[in-house]
Amino acid sequence: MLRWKLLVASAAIALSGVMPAHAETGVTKDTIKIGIFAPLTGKSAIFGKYVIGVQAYYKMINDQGGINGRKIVTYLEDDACDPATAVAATKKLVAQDGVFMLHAGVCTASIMAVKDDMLRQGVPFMNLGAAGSSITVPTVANMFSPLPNTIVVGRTLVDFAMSRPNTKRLAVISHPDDWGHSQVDPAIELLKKKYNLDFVENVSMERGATDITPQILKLRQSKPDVVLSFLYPTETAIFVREAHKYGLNTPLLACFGASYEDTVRRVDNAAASKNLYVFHALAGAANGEKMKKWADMIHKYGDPKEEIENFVLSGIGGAEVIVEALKKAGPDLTRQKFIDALNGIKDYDTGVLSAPITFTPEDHGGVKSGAMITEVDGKLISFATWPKEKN
Amino acid sequence: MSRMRDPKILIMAVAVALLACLPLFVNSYIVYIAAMICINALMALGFNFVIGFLGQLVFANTAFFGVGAYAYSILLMHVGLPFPLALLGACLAGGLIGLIVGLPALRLRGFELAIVTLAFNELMRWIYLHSGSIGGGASGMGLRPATLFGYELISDTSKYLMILVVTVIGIWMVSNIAKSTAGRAIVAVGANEFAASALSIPPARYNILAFALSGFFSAIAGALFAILLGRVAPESFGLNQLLLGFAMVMVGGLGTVAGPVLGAVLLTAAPEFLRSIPGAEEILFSVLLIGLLIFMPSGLFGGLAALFPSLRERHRGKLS
Repeated sequence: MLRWKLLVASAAIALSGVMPAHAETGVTKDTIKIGIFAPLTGKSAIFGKYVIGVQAYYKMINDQGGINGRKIVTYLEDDACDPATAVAATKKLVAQDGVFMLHAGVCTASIMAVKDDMLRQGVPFMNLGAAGSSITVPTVANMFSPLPNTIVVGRTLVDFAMSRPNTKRLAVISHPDDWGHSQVDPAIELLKKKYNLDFVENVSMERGATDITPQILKLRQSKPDVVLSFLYPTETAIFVREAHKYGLNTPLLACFGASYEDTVRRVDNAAASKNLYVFHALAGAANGEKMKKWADMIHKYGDPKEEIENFVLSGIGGAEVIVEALKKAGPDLTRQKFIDALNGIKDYDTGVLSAPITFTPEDHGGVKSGAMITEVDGKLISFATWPKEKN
Repeated sequence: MSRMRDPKILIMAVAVALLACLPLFVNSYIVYIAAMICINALMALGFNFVIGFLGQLVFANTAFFGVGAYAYSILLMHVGLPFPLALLGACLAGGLIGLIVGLPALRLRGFELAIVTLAFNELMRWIYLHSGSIGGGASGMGLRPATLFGYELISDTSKYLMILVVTVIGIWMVSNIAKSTAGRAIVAVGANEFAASALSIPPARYNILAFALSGFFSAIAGALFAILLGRVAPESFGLNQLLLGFAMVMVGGLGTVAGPVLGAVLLTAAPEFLRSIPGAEEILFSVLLIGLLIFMPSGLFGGLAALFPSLRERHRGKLS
């Protein structure tokens, strides 16, 4: 009997020497596995550009020696902004690829489809680019979002429009679904509460619609000073193009769902885009001096010919706080230590996003502000209030 | 010979037993895909009632699938019904909607019917998007876990086993319906309405019955889909889902029971192998559909049955 006990004890000691020191899922002696999913195909594939900046950033970190001696290994999956595909992608990343955490999702419905499962499994989740407030409100232990949510976007558009001199008449066009409502409702509330005004016209456009003539005629009839638009990329481009065609030449403010560069490209008419302003969460214009560092990084670690625009850059802030928290969590990395480190991120200036990121155990929403981007004298410039140049 | 000595039944019993043991050997991702195969098999079988057995060009099945998912979710979350009753309610809702959609089919045929049913699909999607607090609108609605005998179906394994049991029962039901007088009458009406009338088979009744059955089985699939995801959202019931269901029936084999199941297995599993190549799934669908329509118009199962006559299903042309 004693001989058996000695044998078992010896085997245990021998095994302890060969077993890795870190038994946490997705963490080895020299790697940390991070899972990414985003729409790479389908009608929302434009949002897949979020992945470009993120992957370049992780490559740069690896090039600089990694984190506590470990290199980041990314696993990329396509969710096509479809909840069922997102669930399959997540299960593959977590159960098969064995990732440590997820930095994923550009569509709120996809993230919400995997949220409960990720919480149950305790997998840390950093939102890549979705704007739905339900991702982090109410706060759950493992879900974090670095970017402004739809409430922030709605309010920012109102404040920006009202900073324009002699502006009293705001009109709004939106998708008549709860994505649209999640932005329009806070906008209506703020306009009433802060400025004691109502929208002079409130029209809707179905997703996938191609004719917007009646809505534009209604908007034009209301003689607005500024029109706020809460539409997806394709519909934003149709709206901008048709508004110009029917003589609605007031400033048009578009939400986070569209990118300035992409909209201008789709509209393909400089005169129509002249009055266009688009919400973004960056510290400066995508092609400006402040973003040059990030553009160079993307060209070095990604495609040297990559066109730098809003969506390409917007995910980098999340990648930065992930890396910061991984460093703070130390060499004995566990999911819990990482989540604790994220909860301790305070006033972290990413340099790429419009405001520093702070996470607390009670609040997992990072940046809570944004700015509007427009073209002035052929250059893209970001403004927090109405530009004097455009008065 | 007793039924248990029938080699086909024995083979199927062994196959089901092996499938039930699957979670013991694979990770939760594979279990999830296996559950999706079961759901898609039921959806394709539902689709097959109208485009296969009845031979009508109908595109309402994603609507039936969605009705099942949303009806289950609403009955569970808002009405407060327990899981089995919510599931049953969803199936009946699907059957009822199928019956209603079947009414225009009495007057319309071919492209007209295709357009009407496609429009119905879009109407349902519009309703999901604007369902507000009832259906969750564009963001969808989260569901509490299904509870069976006091046990919450939270784990992938428990959900898979429940879905497998329902799928096996569903396939057994479809198989029996296909062999029944009603099933044969639907096939007869689909083959030639006038000849069916001459045989005292009322085409209107069996047209509507095929639609109701289609709605019923598609809705079971939809409800199981909602249970598996723990959530319903409008994105799941769009054109992609319609094309997927259509491709499953076409690739597997129209008008058979085994064909849609085979199509569901192939077209659910294959895209997962192609995950690392974005866009490959769409190319696979296109190539398979084009290739099969040219070289194997009766689908994979039809092609196999031509090679192995013992595989032929006996419900076709046996109306008497």
